[in-house]
Amino acid sequence: MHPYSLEMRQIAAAAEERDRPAVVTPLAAIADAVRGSLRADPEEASARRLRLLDTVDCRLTRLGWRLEAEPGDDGTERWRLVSGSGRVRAAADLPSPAPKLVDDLPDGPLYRSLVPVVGIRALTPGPWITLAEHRATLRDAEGKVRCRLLAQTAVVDGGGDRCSAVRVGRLKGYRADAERVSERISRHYGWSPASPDPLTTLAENLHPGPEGAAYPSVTDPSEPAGPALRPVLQALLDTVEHRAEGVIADIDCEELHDLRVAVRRSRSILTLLRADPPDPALERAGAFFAWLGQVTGPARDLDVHILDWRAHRRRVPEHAADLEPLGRYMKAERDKAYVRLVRILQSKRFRDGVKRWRATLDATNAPWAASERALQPIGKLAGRRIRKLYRRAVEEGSSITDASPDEALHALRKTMKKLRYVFEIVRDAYPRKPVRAILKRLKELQQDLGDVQDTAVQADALRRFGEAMARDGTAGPATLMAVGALAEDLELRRADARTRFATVFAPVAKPRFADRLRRLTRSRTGGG
Amino acid sequence: MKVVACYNIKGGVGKTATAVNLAFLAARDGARVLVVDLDPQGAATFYFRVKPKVKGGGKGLVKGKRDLDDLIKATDHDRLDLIPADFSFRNLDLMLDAEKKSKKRLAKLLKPLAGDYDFVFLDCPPSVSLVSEAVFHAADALVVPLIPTTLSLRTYAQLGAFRDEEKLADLQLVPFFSMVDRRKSLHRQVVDRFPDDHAEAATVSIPYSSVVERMGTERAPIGAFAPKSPPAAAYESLWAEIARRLR
Repeated sequence: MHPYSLEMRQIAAAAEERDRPAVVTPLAAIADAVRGSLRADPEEASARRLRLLDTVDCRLTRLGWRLEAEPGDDGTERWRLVSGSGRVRAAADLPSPAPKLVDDLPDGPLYRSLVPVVGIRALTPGPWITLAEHRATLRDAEGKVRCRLLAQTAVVDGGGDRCSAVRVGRLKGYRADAERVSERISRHYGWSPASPDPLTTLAENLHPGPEGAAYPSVTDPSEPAGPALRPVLQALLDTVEHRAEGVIADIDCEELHDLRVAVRRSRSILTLLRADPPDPALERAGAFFAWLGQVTGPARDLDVHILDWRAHRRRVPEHAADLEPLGRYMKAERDKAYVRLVRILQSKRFRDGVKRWRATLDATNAPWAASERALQPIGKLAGRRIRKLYRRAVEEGSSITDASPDEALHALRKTMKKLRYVFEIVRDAYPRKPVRAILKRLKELQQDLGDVQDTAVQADALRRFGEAMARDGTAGPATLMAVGALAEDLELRRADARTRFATVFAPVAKPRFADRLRRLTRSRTGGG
Repeated sequence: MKVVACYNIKGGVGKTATAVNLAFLAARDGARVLVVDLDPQGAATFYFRVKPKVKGGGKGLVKGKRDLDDLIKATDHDRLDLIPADFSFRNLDLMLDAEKKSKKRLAKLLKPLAGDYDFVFLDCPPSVSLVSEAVFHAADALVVPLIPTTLSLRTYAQLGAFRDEEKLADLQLVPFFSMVDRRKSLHRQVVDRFPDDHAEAATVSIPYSSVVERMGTERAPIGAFAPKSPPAAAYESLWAEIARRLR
């Protein structure tokens, strides 16, 4: 298609001004404009109804893609993934209602195109849209097609957005014709610079995407910690509130995960600001976030179990059928946990905690912001904390041997998490390149420690689930054997992760890494 | 990118109809297809309603002075493009002869299009010449329409000998019968016996039909104006067989 497009309203309005009938279809207007040189053959107009799907954080729209769902004749839905250029990347016919999670899509080009982008996020449909299309072919005297025109109008149901565009399709070897047609239309009816097709415009309007960075960072290391961290804490509190709404609406498991990350990051900052004597407002907030972290844990654990069950089902398809009862059991447990969690997130305790903390953060002359620590430059304060946590991590990690219990690795994992959170609070105050290199190593180590801990917890949980299912009679021998096999698989992965530990810990413990971290956090930009 | 040449030493056997219809079917199945009309008569070009004119003529084409992409014209059918014929192609032999490695020249010219097209169909002029040799060197398969007559079979034998002489063992020959009139006993006999000695023969024959002749008035492949006609079905089966062999 030609990159230029015309706004239909402009064409119609211009046509009206030229004493033409009040209702002018864009193609009629265009055919009129090109009369004399090429013959316009209008094709029958068509209209279709569809919905656009995206994740709540608009992963597809942010990539310039759109996912269309159109009802089929036989109770199916036709899904088409379209890239920014208008190319259909993949399509599939799915039973209606289609699954919310990409993981539940059948394997194929659509699944493979979506999974790296959407991941574990749910796809939610937007409102119904009617897309009307008029096409015309412009032919020369020999009857040869010289260019094609497509006029589209997309209207959102219930008096929502309305977008239109006319596109001039260029054909290889006949580009001059398309240019001439575009130029003529422009001369007769006014010109509008290139605009994307109406569905892309609507997708952007319907799914504008989250504003700002997911995890804010301070940029000026010399700024006092209090004022520097206030907007970070406010943004994290916003995340807690928004994600709580997402959990209540049961969008997908990432809502709870993001909420918990915001909680941990907030706690990390509160520790950084902890004053002597303690500030009552910060202590209260610390207690509130500790409670929130604790009460959201069981639901998150079940989410993780279900994610792992899904991954295993893909990895070992021959277990899929036998593991279905386990999936049903875990989903029922998860639903119960979510009912409890939603009650908590709608409770007075939660609402009051958020309200009080927001009031504390919004108060301009709060005592916490005037403490000795809050007045220190953030670069200096965070740098000191980073170095302290790093020393602790190296100490804890160096004492780990093959014979160490998993708890030792768990303790190191917690220290590493704290280190990474503080580091990320000030990451934008440091040069980008060394930050990336350091974060890469920290993430590798954290991933491994996470694998050790998560696989152990999951294997343990699976055994409990298996016992419970056997007691309830909800699982037959095949399921219990598959659960056992899954638990064994987790044990093997845990053993692998333990073996890997030494390899991923070594680069972090190296004097070169320590030097780099020290130099960075003591540098003029980073503060000392 | 696979290069399919529609070729026969004899004229009037249905080479152009084959190239145009097979190319249309390949594009309809989703492939990106280019037809190169090497015949100065320009029948394929006519069928696609394109002007038989190439910027710089045959000389420009052979010398590679112009980007081949500049010579390509979109047809009225999705994913199906054409390099039209030019009257100067009547001297393509001489033009090729003036080039170094003339036999491999066409293959070299087509090579840069590999990323843009899945299939290139060469509609070749009849005769054995330097153009044919260049076509043989460029093609993965030679699709050879044969009229079921003794003379036609003789030319196919000549073609086989020529391929062997040129040591082009990798070049697949796909002979098939076109313009078959099952009412004629000679046609029936030839069509039925030919596969006994030629395992490479396609199992599909194209029937003699006025629908094929209508391509000239409709100026389009059969699939575009008579998709349910017997020749359309025959070309579909032929393309399915060739596509399978090319995989």
